[in-house]
Amino acid sequence: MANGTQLLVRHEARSTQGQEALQHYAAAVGAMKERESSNPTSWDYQAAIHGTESSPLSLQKQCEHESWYFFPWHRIYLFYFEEIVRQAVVDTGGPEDWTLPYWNYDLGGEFASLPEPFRQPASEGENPLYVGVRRPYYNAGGPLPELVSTEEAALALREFIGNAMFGGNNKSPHRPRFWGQSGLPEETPHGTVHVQVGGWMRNPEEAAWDPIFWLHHANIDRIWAVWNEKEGLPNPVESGWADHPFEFFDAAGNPAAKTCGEVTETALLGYTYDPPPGGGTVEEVAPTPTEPPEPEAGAPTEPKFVGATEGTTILEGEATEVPLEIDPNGQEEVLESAEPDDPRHLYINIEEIRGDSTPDTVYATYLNLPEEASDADYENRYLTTLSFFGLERTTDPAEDEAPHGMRVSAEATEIIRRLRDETDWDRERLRICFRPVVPEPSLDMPEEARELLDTSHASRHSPIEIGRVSLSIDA
Amino acid sequence: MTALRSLARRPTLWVEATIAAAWLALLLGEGAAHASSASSSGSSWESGPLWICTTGLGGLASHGAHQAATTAPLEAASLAAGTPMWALMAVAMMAPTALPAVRHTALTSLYWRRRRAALEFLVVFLGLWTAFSVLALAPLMTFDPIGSSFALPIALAAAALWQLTPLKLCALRACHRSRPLPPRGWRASAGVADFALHNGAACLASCWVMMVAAAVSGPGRLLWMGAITAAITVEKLDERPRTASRRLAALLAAAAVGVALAVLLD
Repeated sequence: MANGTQLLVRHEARSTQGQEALQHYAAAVGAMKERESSNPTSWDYQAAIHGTESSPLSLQKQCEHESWYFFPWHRIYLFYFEEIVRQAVVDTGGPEDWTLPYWNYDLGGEFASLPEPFRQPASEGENPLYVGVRRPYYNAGGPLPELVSTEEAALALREFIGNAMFGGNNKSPHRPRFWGQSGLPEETPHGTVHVQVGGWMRNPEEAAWDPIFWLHHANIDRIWAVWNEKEGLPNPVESGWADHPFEFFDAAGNPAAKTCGEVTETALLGYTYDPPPGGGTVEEVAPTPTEPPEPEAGAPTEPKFVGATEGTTILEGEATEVPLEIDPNGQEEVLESAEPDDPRHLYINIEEIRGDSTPDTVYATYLNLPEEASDADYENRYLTTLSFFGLERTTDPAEDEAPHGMRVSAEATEIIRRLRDETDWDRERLRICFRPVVPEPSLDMPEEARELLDTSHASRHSPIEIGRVSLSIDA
Repeated sequence: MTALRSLARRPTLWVEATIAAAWLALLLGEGAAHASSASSSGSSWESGPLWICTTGLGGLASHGAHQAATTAPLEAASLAAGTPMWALMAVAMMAPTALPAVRHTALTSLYWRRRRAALEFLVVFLGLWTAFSVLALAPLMTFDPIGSSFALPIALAAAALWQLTPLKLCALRACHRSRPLPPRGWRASAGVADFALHNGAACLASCWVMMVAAAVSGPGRLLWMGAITAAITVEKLDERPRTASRRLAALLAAAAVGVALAVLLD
């Protein structure tokens, strides 16, 4: 914890400081795994706070997904986990200012591969950070595909709550809803990295047992901090969010709680990232948190639906396309909304997603992708990547929670404008194209990973039903 | 003006107006019945169990013309009179609980068919409840305790017990699920009907015993109806189904004990 004048700094896992922190992390994880699983500071207990297949103990199986609590819940979870690990680091002779490193896969190249201490030595007995059930390609050092690891689309969003949003939909008690909708960063890169790494990471009930989970979530936490700096802290102001508390265990194993409103900035919790989310250098970062501006309250506008698919779309691991018919009454309005000076936005909504479990395939979604698509087509017609992470939780939610359909919305204004400009626009219909994401072989990829590429990714999975894909305009 | 325009665009505005009209009709009927019973001697139509069968819409219109039927055997004719009354009761009591689903239907339909989609949903949803009345009232009429003063506490106790069953929890959870809505043509109407049937069936399975309690509530029935409507609405809005159903079970059990004691001490 910060001493009031100095913020602790979380470093990228491949930096010099990050590598040093990982050595202490490995020792601490090993020590925590030795503890009784009923001890709140043990590895098993901490992991089960996120989710567990067993009967949950106090405060276990609490993870928040597909709602506006996703970012604050995981920030508080990591904060207390970091305190517990730091204590274990100190107990084993490590530094008192130890912090959790983050895995910034968005940097590409070697950064997109699992950091080496999580892969070598490849033995669970010798290496507390190694997990054998991960997708073999990643344990062999293969990099994540860019469509899985990118944070670009997440940082381009403007609203915490909206039609295509950063933070996830309102989940206040007594607010009826028929779907859970995550913010886009919860899909990409959060969900996509979970699913691609595979093994325990693919299942919310097991994910936190993999030590890479915590570095992955530190990166997601960093993305929230960067977005807040960029957009001027546009977090919710409703009391159902700001005053909502979440309870965990501190380093002494005692219950401790924080509200969402208490964690809107990392500085409020005494830490920052290197490089700092607001830019500059760590030395320049003010040690005290800044006062957030008074955001405007108000519900987002309800979208106007102008078209949708007719039937259910099934995804089973292969490329799939589905036509989306645009109603004659809305065809002109769609074109008007795509004009550069029009204030309205167009959205593609992937609705009523159902399935028995999270598939091991993530899907890139495109609009009107040609059969012989060029690299430019893939780039210009890309909408979003779907991970379906946590799908099983929507039909069988944790504890006492109502079941919901899953829904993903992404803005399509720019793509539709480009399609119109490229004269590839059919005013009556759009084609929604789902393509499984598979890493491309490359020469700088480790040879073992290249050999495992096909066997690690080519698979059919249990069917995922998409009840409807719709096109909407914000009113 | 902006607020008025916003109100006028509200896709569920007419549904809310219909609910208000249903409650107004019930209130007016109640007032008329009180006036009628005050000017006549003996029992009044509102005092007996299964008042919806003994009264009917005709009873409301003729200011208590069916008052003598209170203790008379319940026959097919009274069942016929009760069905429209049950439909009115369903509009007043169940339509408020369906408002989130109606709103969801409207807002996920094509913009220009929002109101139509809401209407289609409500017709199917309330039709299901009305059909239930025909099925439910016939066996109720042959049930001996229904004619006694203990009908209400028995129904409340049964409702409390039902709240604790796995089937109830399953039904309440199903009330939170939606169905895909095709955008156009007959498929759009069929999709809305499909959603309304699933949602209505879940609602029926979740709330039917409480509706029976409202049907046999007798004196002070509008208060009972109001209280039960509020309880069901809050229960269905709550995102924690198990907590909500157990909390309501406790309330219903307490009400059953209270009413039973009142009857015994009377």
